[in-house]
Order: sequence, then structure tokens, then C-alpha cells
Amino acid sequence: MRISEEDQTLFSGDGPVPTDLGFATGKLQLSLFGGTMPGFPASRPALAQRMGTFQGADMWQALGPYFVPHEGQSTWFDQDNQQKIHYDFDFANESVLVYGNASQPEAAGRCGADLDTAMVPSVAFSTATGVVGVVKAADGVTNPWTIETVDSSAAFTGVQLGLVGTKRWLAYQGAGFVKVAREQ
Amino acid sequence: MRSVNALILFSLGTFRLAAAWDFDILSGASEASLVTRLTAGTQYRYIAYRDQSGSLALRTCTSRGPVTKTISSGMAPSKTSVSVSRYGDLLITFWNGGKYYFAFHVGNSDGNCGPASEFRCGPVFLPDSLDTVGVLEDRIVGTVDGISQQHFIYRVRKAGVSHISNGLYYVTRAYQGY
Repeated sequence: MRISEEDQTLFSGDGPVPTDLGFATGKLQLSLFGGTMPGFPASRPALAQRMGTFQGADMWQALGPYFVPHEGQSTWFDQDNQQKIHYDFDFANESVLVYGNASQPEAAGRCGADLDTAMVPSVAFSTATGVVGVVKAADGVTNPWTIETVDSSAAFTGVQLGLVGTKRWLAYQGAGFVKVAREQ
Repeated sequence: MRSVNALILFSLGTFRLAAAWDFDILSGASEASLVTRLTAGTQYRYIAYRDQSGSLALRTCTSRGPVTKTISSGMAPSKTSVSVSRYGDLLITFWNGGKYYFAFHVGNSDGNCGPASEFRCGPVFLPDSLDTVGVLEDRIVGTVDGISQQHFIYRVRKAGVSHISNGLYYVTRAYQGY
């Protein structure tokens, strides 16, 4: 067996943190958070996409940035069709702002956001008083979101979300344990 | 493991019945990563994490209940990330005290780690022969393409080395032949 490896620098500097990587035919897509990157405002999340046959760093194409005020919020993108959801919480005012379209979503996602097979996006985040799941109305970006406290038994961090059909799954970190919440 | 149902919540100024939830607790676990994905008619549900012994563990949620496997003992993973590609390939990436590592499900005893050697584990190539010294903990993500080639992107923040630059790096890895 022969293993081939090659590396290349996407960019140098104190760049953003990679949060997700997806592959589709002819495309490799990367989501990033924060940092400073050429063409991206400092401390803003970015969405970048690598196109073509993976030859040359100049093939990277910035699709962002989008505006998120702090970590714990992220960008979801469909790996095949570039459709993406960006979510932005103002928890104090119980408002959620969503960008993007969701015409042909694929059930994949990380960073606390996902789309179900009915194209209903869900996002999840944690607060000092509990893990909060959020589900948006199915028919538009601006409709009210339903905010639901899932677990207020302790303070949690690092909540992640996935969907199994239309059922939300959450995984989040407690003090000395990981908790998995599965919607019945 | 225990099960608790959530009850009533107050949301956006109105009372409504909240969804009911089941809760599983992975005692002693940390650095968990969850992925769910429906692709090619198969629903994947994985949680990769550091277990209480410091090993890389993987919980697979099946219709008959969860199955937990130790993938790599004593690896002390952190910044764990698990992905399922659109082709159904499972790839776990993590930091381990100086290097990025991967665990790629290959099945058929073709690997070098995990039960029945069903995973291929190893370090991810670092730029310019950078070794375990001089890199700060950070995050790596990965995925697999249609020909089982793995793609990784990771961030490097150096500490005390001068021959590399901080930044994002992209690495591909492929197995060819036998």
C-alpha cells in the first residue's frame, strides 16, 4: 500500500477556525469561523469554497462573510448545492436572523444547525441556564422562530445538532459528561 | 443512561407543549462530536468522543440501540470532529497533544485500529516536517470523496518554531494499491 500526501497552505496568518468540510462532485467546501482572512472582516465567520480539481490554493473562492456576533453561532451549508443557512441569535431579544435559501437541502450539518427532509432548519445553542433548541417555521426566513429550552439541569457548552428525519438530536458537554438529547 | 421527558415551556409569549426528549449520558466523556446524515437511503448517527479512560470512542446509534466502540486507546483526543461523507464514509479527526490524527473507517480488517481493525488511524501530515513540538492545540476537519481520498483542513498556530507560518493548511491523503 502506498500512501500519498500533499499539503498546501490556504493562507498564512492568524486565520479562522475550520468548522466543517464537505465534499461533492468537483467541489470541496469549507466553513470557517472568525479570525482574519484576506477579504474577510476580522472576527467574522467566513464561508469559503474550494472548486474544481484541487489544484492550487488560488482555486479557493470566498462565499462569505456573513455576520455573526460571537462564537456558538455558525454557518450551515448544503454540500451539493451550495445552499446555506446562516443563523444569528440575539438571545436577549429572542430574535433569530437567518440568511440563505433551502430549496434542495441535504440532511447534513454540524455546528448546531441542520435541515430536515421537509427543509425546516433547526439550530441549537447553549446558554448559562440550559441547552436551547430552536426551530424555525418552514415557510420563510422571517417567520418567528420557536425557542425551546431542552435541558436546564446545568450549564452546558458545545451544543451540536443533527436531525434524524424531523427529529432533533443534540449533543452537549456537561461537567464530566456528555449528554445526548433525542427528540421523541 | 436515563430518560427524561421535557414538559411545558414558555416560548415567545405563549404556552405550548414542548417536544419530548430522551436523554443519554456518557459519563466521563468529553470532546464529543455529533453527526447525523441521511445518504443513499442510510441514516447515520455517530458520536465520537474522548471517553473516561482517555481513549477515542465512537457511539453508533442503531435501531436496536447504541453500540460503543473504542477506536484508539489512550489517544487523549480533543477538538474531535466526526463526519459522514455523501458516500457514507466515516472519518474522525482530532488533536492529540501536538499532532492532528484521523480515524477512517475502512472495514474488512483492513485498518490498524478499532475493533477488528476496521479503522485506519494515523497522524495527519503536517507542513514542512513539523513534528510534535511547536504547535498549539487547534481544530481539524475532514471529509472523504468518492474514491476514498481523505481531505483535511486544519489550523496551525505555532509556538517557538520559525520555519512554518500560522494559517490554514489543506492536506489530502490517499491509499493506492495494496
